Amino acid sequence: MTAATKPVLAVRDLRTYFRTRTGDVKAVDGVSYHVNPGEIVAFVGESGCGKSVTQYSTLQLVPPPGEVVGGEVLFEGLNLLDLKPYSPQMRAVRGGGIGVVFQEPMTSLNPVMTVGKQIAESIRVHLKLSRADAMSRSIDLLTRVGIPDAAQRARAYPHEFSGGMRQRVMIAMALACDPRLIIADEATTALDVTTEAQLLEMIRDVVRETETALILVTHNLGIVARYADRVYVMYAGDIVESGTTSEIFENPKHPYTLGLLSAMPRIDDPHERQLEPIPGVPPNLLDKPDRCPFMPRCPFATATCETSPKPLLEGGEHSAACYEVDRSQSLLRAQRELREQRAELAARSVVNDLTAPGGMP
Amino acid sequence: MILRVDDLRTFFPVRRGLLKRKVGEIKAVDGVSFSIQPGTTLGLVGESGSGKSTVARTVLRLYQPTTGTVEFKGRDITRVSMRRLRPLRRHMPMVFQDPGSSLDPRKTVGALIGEPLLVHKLATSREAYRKRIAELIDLVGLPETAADRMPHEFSGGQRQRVAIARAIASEPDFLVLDEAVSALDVSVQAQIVNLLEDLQARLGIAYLFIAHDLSVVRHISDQVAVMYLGRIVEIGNRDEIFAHPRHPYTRLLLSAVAVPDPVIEAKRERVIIRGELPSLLNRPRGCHFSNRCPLVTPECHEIDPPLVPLSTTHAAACIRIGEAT
Repeated sequence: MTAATKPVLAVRDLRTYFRTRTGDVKAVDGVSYHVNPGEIVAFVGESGCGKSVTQYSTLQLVPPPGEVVGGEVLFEGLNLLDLKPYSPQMRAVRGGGIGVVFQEPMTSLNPVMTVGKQIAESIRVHLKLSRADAMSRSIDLLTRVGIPDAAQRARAYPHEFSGGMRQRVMIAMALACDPRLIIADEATTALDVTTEAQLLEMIRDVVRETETALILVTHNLGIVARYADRVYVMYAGDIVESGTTSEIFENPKHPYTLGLLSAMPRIDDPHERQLEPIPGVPPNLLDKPDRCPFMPRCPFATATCETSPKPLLEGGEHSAACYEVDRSQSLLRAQRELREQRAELAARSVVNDLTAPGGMP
Repeated sequence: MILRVDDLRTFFPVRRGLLKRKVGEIKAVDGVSFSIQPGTTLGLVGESGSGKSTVARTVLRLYQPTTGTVEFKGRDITRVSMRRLRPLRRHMPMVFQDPGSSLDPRKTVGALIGEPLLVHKLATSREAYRKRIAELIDLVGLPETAADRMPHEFSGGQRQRVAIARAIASEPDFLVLDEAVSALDVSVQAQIVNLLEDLQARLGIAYLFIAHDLSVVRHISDQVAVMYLGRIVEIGNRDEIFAHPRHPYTRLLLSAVAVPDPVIEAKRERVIIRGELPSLLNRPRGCHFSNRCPLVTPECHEIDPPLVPLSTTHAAACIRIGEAT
């Protein structure tokens, strides 16, 4: 992506707090990011880091007592936060300009309406097509997302579909009105790994073909490595690192990103490798102090980290919110060695074995 | 041998209509055999509905097997009465995926961990009971003060530690872990995986480790069995399965797992499995994988392939095994 491209979504200093009786839970605590046209951007982090709430916030779908308390969400130049959550303009964005796929297809689909009609409904609302045209378009969409016998399956109800097929229906629905951006929030997390791979390959092909931008919210770093162009790593309501996928994985700067990569078991690990957990647990977002949120768990933390205000992303293509980036780099060098071992191992491991000539067709 | 399972079958009747007449059977586990050596881990992998949890529950006699035998420490427990089974249960506890629902929310952590001690009468005095709880709390890495607190005060990872402490309270030689680390975040999951490895090294407990995450299974297992629609399609040592998978299903399954490394991912050519998992009520004829297999031949629709040994430890159920290199 060149710097000249105008982002399809630009978010600045977004803040979403949940107003509870005991105080404000700062679920999203000042995040800024952008998504360029046709780009696949991953939001990665552990549960409770705010990656999903961030997406709900931009769509104005935060459930009470949650509230977007500040920031700016520019979608194609229009600040969505200026719109009322249920205004006609905001509705036109949700399901129109921005397609959304959630984790739970069963709760997002209407159980008493055939899937063809549900997709057609959204097409009729957003694109003002006739009933018949909308139906034929929805059958095309179902074919496109890989549902066999789409014309017939369009007359089936959600419960007649398997989990993977339901999620395909959700994707068809998200694509229904030629969105410029699709947000997939843990869309494949509940599925089996083989179904997940089928779906993600399909989504990737569709968004590449239609040049739709995609936000992929996931906790799975493998999926990030496989599909994303760019990554935002979130921790405790903050974006702690951002960069291209190759930069994030090859030169992770933030100690949390490093920690995640060392904690994760890999299918191509050398055998003697011990997992290195990150000690402790994520902070309570209630009364979050104004300092680096990762400090209590960080192996590189210094007195500066304890007393200084929350570090901000340094800016630029690859950037981390950390005072001690230099210190984390020494660990990185150690990890490089591991990586070299892995490369050696890969030569005879499953990774190559699977794709060896004469292997799988 | 701590556990030997031979040709185990667990069928569930399908009942329909007013009279609840039996109209068919779901063959959730359909002829599964394996054994586990003391102090080692067998990883059981497969997609949802492959029967891996049913295997575990049948082994523990939470389900009654239809046919086949389960031998625990050399003793056939398949048809032992529930009364006789109870003292044996002490040696074969289970840890589930969600400690939030498997731990009684109204009991303190100390009472939860101590419960097996009372059930199996393992504590001789109040003092010994308390001491043992403190020991267990320390062993699983919980804070000392945990005993008097309630489960809801702990995070998911900590609660899983409570569930593990409870499971090992009766000093078992064998532990079933059913998706025990699946719901945890990466950083916490690593803590629990390390704890399990550490406990195995120290106490010599054998694990039946069930998970759908292949990377975790590879990490923790000595032996791995891959299940598909109620059958084991491939079983072998960890390296045999992960470095030299022979069954087409195993290979496709491994290919579907993404590696957190864009350089390796870019080089990998992915073969995506086609189609959907068939229903257990309507399994394809011949080889159950035949309708999705990229190497399928007409014969595959006819012959139900048996597990063919490839080495003393490795076996796969595919008629084309001999041809592939």
